[in-house]
Amino acid sequence: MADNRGFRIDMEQARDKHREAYREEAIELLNELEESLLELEGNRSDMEIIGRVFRALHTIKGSGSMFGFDEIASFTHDVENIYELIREGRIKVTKPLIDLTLEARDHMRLLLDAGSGGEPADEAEGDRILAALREAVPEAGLAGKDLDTGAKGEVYQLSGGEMTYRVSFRPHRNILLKGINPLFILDDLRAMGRNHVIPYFSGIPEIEGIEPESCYVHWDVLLTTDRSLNDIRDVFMFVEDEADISIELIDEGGLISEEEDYKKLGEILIERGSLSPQAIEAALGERKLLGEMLVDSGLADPAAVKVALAEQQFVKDIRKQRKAIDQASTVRVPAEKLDRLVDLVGEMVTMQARLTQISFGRKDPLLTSISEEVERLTAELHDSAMNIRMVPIGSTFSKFRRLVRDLSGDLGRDINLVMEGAETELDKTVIDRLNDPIVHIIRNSIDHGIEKPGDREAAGKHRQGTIKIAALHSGSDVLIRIQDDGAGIDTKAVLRKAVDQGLIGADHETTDSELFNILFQPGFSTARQISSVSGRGVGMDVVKKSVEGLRGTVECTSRRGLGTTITLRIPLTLAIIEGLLVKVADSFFVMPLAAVEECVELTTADAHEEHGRTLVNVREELVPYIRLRKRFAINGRRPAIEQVVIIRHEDKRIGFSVDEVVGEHQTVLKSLSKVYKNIRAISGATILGDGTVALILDLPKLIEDAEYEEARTTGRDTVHASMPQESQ
Amino acid sequence: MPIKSIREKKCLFIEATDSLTVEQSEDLLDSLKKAVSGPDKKISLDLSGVTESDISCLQLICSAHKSAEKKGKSIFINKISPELDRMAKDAGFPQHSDCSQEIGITCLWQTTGVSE
Repeated sequence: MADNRGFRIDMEQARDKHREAYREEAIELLNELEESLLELEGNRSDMEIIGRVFRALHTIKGSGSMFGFDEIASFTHDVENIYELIREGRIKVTKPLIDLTLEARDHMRLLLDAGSGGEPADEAEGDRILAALREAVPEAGLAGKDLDTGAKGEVYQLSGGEMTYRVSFRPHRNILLKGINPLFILDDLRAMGRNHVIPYFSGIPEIEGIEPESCYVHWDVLLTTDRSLNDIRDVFMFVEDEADISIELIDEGGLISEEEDYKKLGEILIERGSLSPQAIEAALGERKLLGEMLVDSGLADPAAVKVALAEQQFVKDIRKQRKAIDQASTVRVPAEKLDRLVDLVGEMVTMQARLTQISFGRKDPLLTSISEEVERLTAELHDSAMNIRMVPIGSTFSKFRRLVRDLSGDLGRDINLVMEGAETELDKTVIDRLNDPIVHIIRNSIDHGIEKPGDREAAGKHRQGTIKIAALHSGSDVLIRIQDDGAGIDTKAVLRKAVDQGLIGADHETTDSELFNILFQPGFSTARQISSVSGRGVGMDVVKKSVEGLRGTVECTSRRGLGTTITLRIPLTLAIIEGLLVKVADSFFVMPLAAVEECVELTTADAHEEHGRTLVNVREELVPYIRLRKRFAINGRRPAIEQVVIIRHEDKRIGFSVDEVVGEHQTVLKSLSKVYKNIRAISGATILGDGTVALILDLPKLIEDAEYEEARTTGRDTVHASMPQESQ
Repeated sequence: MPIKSIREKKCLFIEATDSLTVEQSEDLLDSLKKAVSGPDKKISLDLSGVTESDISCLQLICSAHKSAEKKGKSIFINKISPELDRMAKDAGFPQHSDCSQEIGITCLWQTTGVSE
């Protein structure tokens, strides 16, 4: 009993694993489907795109059925049938059809979630979509009818493990009189895999001598399938006595040969008994192509040469496709496994730093040599592990095409979405977390930025607005720019609203840059009306928070009447950063190096204090600075000469005074325990070579706290002086 | 009667409709025989109304093509129903292999247009 139970559990686990694998694959396919449909909208007769749509639907349906996602399989089947009709040229692609297919795609996603234990999908909605799809293809006379086209699953993908057979089917002359239709046999064979049907009809007599009830045609079917030889034999079970049948293995998949080239033409002709080896040798004495020579010299029947060439081409194609699959083969790995790998590599980097430090102290040549080798390997391991996590940002970009399409339709805008740098790679986690902020920015661009076509024309602009999303590398960061050519930000309205909301004083002089930053304050919106899209004041502050959560920054520039550009600066990875290690008394801190502009010495002569604000004179420029010793209440005496690390934050230079700048440090980030989650100024920790813990500073939050504190004690307003909120 | 022949401007138009299986093959054979042996240099087949067929029909058309070519006549399929077109494709007919023993001659099944 116990054994049986164990077996059952294993089976269930295996099934769950397969279902999860299907789910992941289906999500990718649904994304591909959406992308292809949007592409199809602009190229409605492109058969290549139609083929892609069909294949995505076909695979979603086929695999869904295999792994128990019956509802999605059944729903997709009907949609697939419509695209089968399109593929056959029987109906044309129209805008309503694409709209409905996109709706169907969204419904498939809901069905997929439902099949994975999520909320059940609305069945009535699915019925409505299918009914509307049927109505949308009246040309085919299908409204209200079953859409089964009788398609027999012609799309096959090589998945490995297939063999290629030459199946020779030679029906006896009287087979039709026995009530057998040989074409049905061909249908059964074709259903087994990728195939090429070669008929031989040289036996058909001329019209005066033909007997219509006789069968004069015979076939070779080149079949690539993962089905067994017995399965193929079973097709002929009921016609064995009415036909001559032979099944020959001609290519064993990847088992025999990795070469793409198949047998030479002469070899096939000899093997098939069409020609003798001597005849081939004699023909090879000449210089023409073998096929031409054989035909010219009358040694071979032209039709036999064509058949052999067809077989050669078929197997070549199969091998070429297999090779392409082999080359493009990928392994799907759950993200958490990658996280664990990166985590381990982080530990390795830490341990290697300790080893280097110890070997340096011991002065042992052997130990030093080992340490250097470990250092080299660790660096390579680190690069490889980080590379595994890098994915092109294009996968996220393509989702925005649908967003822009749907929203511009809803809001009466005409917008062209331009995407650049889709191949730019970023850490997977970063990409996942970028989705929401970019969605917010695009929604704002469409709702508040891009004007309606009539308004644009009145303003002397092209009717169609443009939103450009571009990604590009900038050092160890990636810049993501979302640019629109809309109306731009009304700085006067922003100023008025900011004063009304008490964010700045009426007499406060603000730069455009400061005003644009106000847009990212919680609850701030200049929209007169709240729409379903934007205007509630939630969104842009979420953008800022999300991007800062990725250790990134947001920058906004805008020109009235010309448009707005929002730039997100995002680090390539979250796992390891280049940091600047500093020391205050016995405590170590790390500052992200990307933010650091310079380090200067601070002597008593350079230090100033005005209205409670500490300032350092740097080449005649007074730069405010924050004393980390004071901020973290570290006891002890300050050294006579301190160091100030100056960073740039939102167009301002701000310093942090420390006792000592230790130097650059490759910092493996460790998140803090939940107990410390509400400590604003610290974003994490890292372990130094000797095992000491260094805290990683969250510089924007330190500045925000200092500004709030300053405003509270002096009663002065500042742009950022709203009450800092604890991070969640 | 599912098969009609009409002569017009030196061309013989043969139109077949509904079922064209081995049961109706004698009728088709008769029409094709007359067409091939008749005076018309061009024979046009309209198969757009064919709803059902089998290998017998495909063979007869190929046979007529072979005989017509020998007599210097031109026979072509002007229209074909999606059902018949699919069946011919599934049987591998539009490949021009082994057709009239001559490389380069146009295959009858490759020149057809599927009717909407």
